[in-house]
Formats: sequence, structure tokens, C-alpha cells
Amino acid sequence: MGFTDELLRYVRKNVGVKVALLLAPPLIFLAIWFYTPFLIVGLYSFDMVNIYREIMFTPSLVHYSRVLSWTGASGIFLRSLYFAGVTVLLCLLIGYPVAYYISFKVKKYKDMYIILFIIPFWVSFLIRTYAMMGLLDERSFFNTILLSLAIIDSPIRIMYTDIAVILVMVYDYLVMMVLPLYANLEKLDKTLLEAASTLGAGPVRTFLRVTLPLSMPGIMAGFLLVFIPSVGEFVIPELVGGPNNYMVGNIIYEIFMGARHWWIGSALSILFIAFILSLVIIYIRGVGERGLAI
Amino acid sequence: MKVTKSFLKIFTIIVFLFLYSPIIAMLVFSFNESKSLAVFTNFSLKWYEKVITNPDVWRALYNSFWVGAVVTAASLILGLMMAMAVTRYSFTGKTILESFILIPIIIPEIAESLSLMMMYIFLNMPLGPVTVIIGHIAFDISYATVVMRARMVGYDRSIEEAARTLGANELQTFFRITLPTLYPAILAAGLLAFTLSFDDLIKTLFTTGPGFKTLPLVIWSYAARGGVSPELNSLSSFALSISFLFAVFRLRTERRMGR
Amino acid sequence: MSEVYSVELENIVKRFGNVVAVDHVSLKIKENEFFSLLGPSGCGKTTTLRIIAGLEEPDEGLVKLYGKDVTDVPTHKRNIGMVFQHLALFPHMNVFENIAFGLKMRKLPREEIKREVKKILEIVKLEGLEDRRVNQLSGGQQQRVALARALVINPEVLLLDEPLGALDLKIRQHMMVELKNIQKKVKTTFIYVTHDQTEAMTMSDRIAIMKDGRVQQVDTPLGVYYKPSNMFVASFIGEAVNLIEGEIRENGIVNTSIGTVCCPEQSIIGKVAVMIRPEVVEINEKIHGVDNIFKGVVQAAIFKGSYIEYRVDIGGITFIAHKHGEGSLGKIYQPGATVEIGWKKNSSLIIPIQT
Repeated sequence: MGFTDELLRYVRKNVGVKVALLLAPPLIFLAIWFYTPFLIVGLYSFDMVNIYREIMFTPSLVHYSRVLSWTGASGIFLRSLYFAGVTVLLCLLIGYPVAYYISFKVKKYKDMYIILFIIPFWVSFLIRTYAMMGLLDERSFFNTILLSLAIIDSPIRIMYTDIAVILVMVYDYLVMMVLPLYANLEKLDKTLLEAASTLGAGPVRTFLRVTLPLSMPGIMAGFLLVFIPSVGEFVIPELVGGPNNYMVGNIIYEIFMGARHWWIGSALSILFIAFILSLVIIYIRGVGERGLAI
Repeated sequence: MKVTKSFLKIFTIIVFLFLYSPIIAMLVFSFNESKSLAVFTNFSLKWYEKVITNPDVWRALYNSFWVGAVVTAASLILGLMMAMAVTRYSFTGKTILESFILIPIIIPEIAESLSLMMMYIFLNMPLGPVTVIIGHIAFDISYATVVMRARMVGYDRSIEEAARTLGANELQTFFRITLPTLYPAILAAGLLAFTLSFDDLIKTLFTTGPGFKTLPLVIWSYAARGGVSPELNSLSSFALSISFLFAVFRLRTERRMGR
Repeated sequence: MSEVYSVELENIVKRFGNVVAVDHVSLKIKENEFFSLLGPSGCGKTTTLRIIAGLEEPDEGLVKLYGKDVTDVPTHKRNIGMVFQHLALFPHMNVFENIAFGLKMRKLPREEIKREVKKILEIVKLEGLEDRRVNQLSGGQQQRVALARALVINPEVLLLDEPLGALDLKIRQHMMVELKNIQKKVKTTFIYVTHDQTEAMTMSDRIAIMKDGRVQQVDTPLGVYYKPSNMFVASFIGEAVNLIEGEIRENGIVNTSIGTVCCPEQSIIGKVAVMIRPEVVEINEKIHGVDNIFKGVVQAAIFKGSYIEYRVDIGGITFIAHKHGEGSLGKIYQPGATVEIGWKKNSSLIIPIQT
């Protein structure tokens, strides 16, 4: 009786103990099942694990040099950046007007418009991608209509091209750009725009000098939410792209699931993770804490 | 100004069409009698018949549900613990912890998935439902924590103090006062965690063992191999309707909670 | 007959980082007393209350409830009730469940709980509202639910943390009378924290005035008003006060910058302040019959409803006089007019100046 009372008193008084008790289970779980795996991949990448799954303390960079000396490597990384970059740009160009329209120009039922916009995104990523496949396929009704209207004379073969990948990526990621933008635009103090017009700024100048700069946080958030995942995209190039359109994710998949070369795959993965983290760090440095206020 | 407004309106409508047409096309053609994706010949449920009579589909559906349930429960418990630690107390290393919570969300899913697979291989663990569940939880905890945390911001701790003055000890206070009051936050996080698990493809792809399939995995194996097909249309429409119902349910509960 | 003290605080010290929130506070609160802790924001009154509740642990000192040392006893084992500043009603429970909570924790049988809740609802005048959700009630009603919830468990002491702050003036005035009546009825010690002196003065049997974590004076409302023990209490209590500094000699004569002021005889000598309440100061063209008369020029005449506040400049010092009653029928002295102000010797109060 006395011991448990003392224990309770100690726990009650001691904030550190309470925090430790609360954080222990989740952190231990994550340490084992989230962070240790990266450690193991790291070990493989530095050639510290042999085929009998024993750890050898002889690190070597042989796998890294193989990856880096592969001439195609830089091409794949650049292509991933290129696809992600074009995607994010298109999402911005398409998404901003929509967000602007709903936020500024729609008076009633704004909520409904946004929900209508979000509904397609309730469908899973995979199914949305598959649905796009249906349209891009040369046998699709989209092609048939264009053919019958004689706008084209042979079916557009978009599948397995760069355009297909980018198109589907924009389709899948558009919502991640529109939502932060919309949230940002909604929070904008509309009286600022009125003030600008009393000071002589027309609609274009008000937009360029007031609205656009104030929506930067939203743009930044949208950028982060679209660009970073896009670079690592795997599903879309696999389904609608061919080997000519492969991104880093697909190569990694091939090496692990196809060739089953754990060592090279690990080296490539570590490089890829470092690549992503440096992009995030560049983003944070360039934009400051505001960019992370999602 | 009027011109701009009409332009924006038309633009928005086009974008909406762009968003809906693939899905609607898929739905429509899943009821098509012929195999064509272009011409709608007749209304028919034959593709759905094929899907519904396929035992693989039902097994996969069943797997997706129970995996989702387990993952949601675990992610909520672990995520709630983290969210509570972060919102109630200040301690050294708190800001670092808050950044760490975001890491699983930032790192690409494929990198996380294959790393976990490597660990399973290294430890000689047989791949199957357990390995899938662990993978989902590791990912979902962060999402659950972030959602719960956002909704716990306005939480007034004085109701817990009131409960203590009325004679409730810490455990009673937690179960009778704290949890019921946090219910909206927990619900929102739970719905998100379930959706992430149910729809998950990449993690599951890397961490599953022979014979254990979830619904997205079934769709993936058909799509990656054969591309677009009427059966797949029906299967996807079927899966879509489940996700959709779930999302509607989510919306209505959020509305009722009075966000 | 020895006094029974419901709450005793002995030398309580509480620090938050570098700030000493409660600085060696000792109090003895009597059984069935309505006791207020009064002071400006940040004076430590709420922290002191929370220490009595057990929601904060003191760094030094003892807390006793009815003679028993409860410093190490956790909150849920002290038999106290508390009404929080923002009420802290349980949002997911209705009125009945909120009030019944404490009784449920004490494992009372269902029938008894029903009876007790009914009784307390009558006392706080909320009969019939058991099934309402708490967010459907008005501010005043929510107030009474919070009160009922804390009282129904029959606590040894009821602690109230600025409960009337959010209410409108008229409702607040009404609630002050209600609270006092309820306290008499349930015969429980009420310890009331507020920064509003009207509340404290209206309801309390005794008041403890606090500043910067220290108790400045513990006395009845009359006592803190007419016999403040230092400059802070004198200027904090009451709407306005005149404080003139000077040097006191024997016979109660004080030399000040405006002349000599006659005060009751004291044994103190040295630097003091003379306190005169504005309502005992006469103002007229010519004053007779009092010991202290001074000439001055009216700076302002402010109409305050039931009285007029005059600010009179006397030798560089602004003197405040309140003239009650006459209103527009009587004479109002305009700014710039020369007047005399005066007061009786016994209306002066000597306050020693602390360093």
C-alpha cells in the first residue's frame, strides 16, 4: 500500500516521468519498425552484410560507386526532377485559378464547391490512376469521339509516353495543391483588397501586388505536398509509362523485386533518401518556418 | 472584370470535368455489355458477376478490412499517446520530437516500404499479414498524431482539474472525461488511418507474403499485367463505391460533430 | 472557545521558474466563513487557491484542512469543491450528469444520487433542467450548474476562482446576493478569488488583500476600507482616496506640503501618509466647524450619477471630494472656481509608510 502510494506521488510530481511513459511505446515501436530498417538498408549499402545475413564490419563504397558510375543514374534522377517539376507547375497553373474562383468569386455554397472538388479524391490513388488509364488507352471513348469528329485521323497514343505520366500525375496530385491554396485564400483579409482599390490599384495590380504575395504560404505548402511525393512516384510510371519513362521509384522497384540485388538497391535507396532530404532542407532554408505551416 | 469572372468560371468547370470524366467513364463502362471502352452497347452486370463470384476478391476485401481495423486501433493508441505528450507538456527535445513526427510523412513511401522489407528479410521474418500490419502502423502513427494534435489545440484542461476536485483519480478522469471530450479528434484520426490502410498499395506490395492480398493489391496485379479491362473496371468501381461510402460516412460524422 | 479553522496555510511558497508567485503566505480561514482573496492580476491569489485545491504543489509550507495536513494528499482525495473561472463543465454530459459526477465518484447508490441532485438544483434554482445539454444554457445558468456540481458532494471547503467575471453587470450583482445566500444556507466555507473589490466587499466576512505574492492585510470589508494597513491597500480599496505624505509629530499633527493636517493622536512618529476618503470631504465656498480646512481651485467636476466627483487643486496636490445627493438642484462648482474643502480630525487615518 505504501509503495504504490509513493510511486504514484513520484509519477504525479515528475513531468519527465509522465512524458517518458507516454512517449515510450510509440517511440520504441517507431525505433524498431521505422528507423532500424533504414539502418539495415544503410548497412547493406555499405556492404556490411553478407549473403548469409551476417554483419561484417568492413564498410566499403563499392555499391555506391557502381550506382554512381552507371550512366543512366543521373538521367533517371533528372527525369524524376523534371516530371515532378512540370507536375507541380501544372498543378499550380491549373489549381490556382480554381482555388481563386471558388474563394473569391463564388458567393453562396462555397463549401459545396470544395466538397464537389474533393469527391474525386476520396477515391483511392490507385483507382484514380487506373481510371485515367481508361481514358488514355487508345481504345477509349475519348479517342473514339475525337476520331469520329475527324479532329484526328488515327488514335492518339498517349500511353507509355512522358505526357501520359505527367498528365496522370497532375490528375492525382491536383487536390494537394488546391486545398492549401484554398485554405490560404480563404484566410486572406478581403478588406486588404478593398484598401488597395481605394489607393488606386486596378484588379490586375491588386492581384499581383496584394493577393499573390499573400498567398505565398499556400503556394509553398502546395509545392511541398506535390513536389516531394512526386519525385518518389512509382505507381504512375509503372502503370502508364514504359521503360523510357521510368523514374527513380521504378528503378528501385526493379532492383529489389526483379533483380533482388539488395546491395545495389540499398545504395540507390540511400542516395535517393539523401536526395529527398536535401530537397526538403533546401526548401526549409529557402522559405523558413512559414513554409511548414500546413 | 466580368470577362475574368466568366473565364475563371469556364476554366473551373473544365477542370471539374477533367476530374470527373475518368471516374465516370470507368463507372459507366463497367456496366457495358461489350468489352469496348468506347461504345456503350448494352447495360449488363456480367462483369460485376465475374467480380463478385471471384473468391480472391472477397478474401482480399476481407483482408483489407481487418488489417485496416487492427492498424487503426494501434495507430490511434500510439498516436494519442504522442499527441498527448506533445500538447500537454513542455520538455527538452520537444521541438525535435515534433519534427521527427513528420519524417514518415516526408520520406517517400517506396523508400520506407523497401527498407522495412529489407529488415524483414534480414531478420528472416516470414512475410504475411503481420508484416503488412506493422508496416501500415509505422506509417499511420504520424498521420494520426498530426490530425489529433491539430484538433486538440483548443482543449481546455480545466475540465480535468474539475473532475479531480470532484474525486476522480487520474485513470477515471482519463476514461470518463478526457477520452469522451477528445472523441471528435480521435474519430477524425481513426477515419484517416483506416482510409490510408485500406487504400494502401506500396507498403503492402513490399511487405506482404505469398497468398495474402488486400484489395488494392488485387487491382494492382490485374492492372500492371493486363492494363485496362472490363473486369477491372467493375472491380475498381466496386472498390470505389466502398471508399466512397466510407468517405460519405466520414463527412456526415464530421458534420454532426459540428466541426 | 478556540476557533475552528477550516483551512490553514503556513508559510506557503510557490515559484514558477524565477518568479515567486506565492511568497510566504500564511492564512487561517474560519469554519463557515466567506473568505475572499483579493488583488490585482498576478498577485498570486489564483495560485494560492490552486494550492489549497491541490492542483499545484507548494515548494515550501503546509496546507491544512480542518487541522489535518493535506500538503501531500492528491486533489481527488481532498474533500474540496471548486468552481473554475471558465466553469469547466463537462461538454459531453447533460446537467444531471455533470452534477452527479462527484457523487458517482463517491460510489453513492443511484437513488441517493437522484435525490441529492434534485435537492441541489432547488437550492440553485435550476429545477427541471436536468436533461439539458450544458451548451444550451445561458451564462448565468451554467454558472449555477458549476456551483451545484461542486456543492452537491458536500465539500469541506468550496473554492471559487473568479466565477462571475464573464457575466453582465446586472446578472453579476444578482449572483453576488445569490452566492451569499447559498453560502449561508449550505453552511460551508467559501474561499473566493477575485480582482473585483465590489464582489469581495459585498459578499465576504473577511478579505485577504494580496500583492506580488504577499498578503497585505486580512480584515473585514469595513476594516480594509476604513483602516487600511498600508498605502497599497488604501489606494486599491475604494473608488478613490486622498493620500498626503508628511511628517507626524506628537498630538497627531502632520506637517505636509499643503500645511498642517490634524489627525487623531497616535504614538507613531516619523514619515506617514494621511488618508482621507473622498466622501467625508466637504466642499463649499466657506467651511466652518471642522479641524482641517484648505483653500483650492476646482480642476474638474465629474458627474457620476449618485454623486459628483470634484478634483480640487490644493498647493499642487489634487484633492478628490465626493458630493452626494444634490445633483442639478444644488450648486455645481465649475472648473476654475475657488473653493474650500474640509474634514474632521477623526476622518483622517494615519498610514505608516513602508520602505
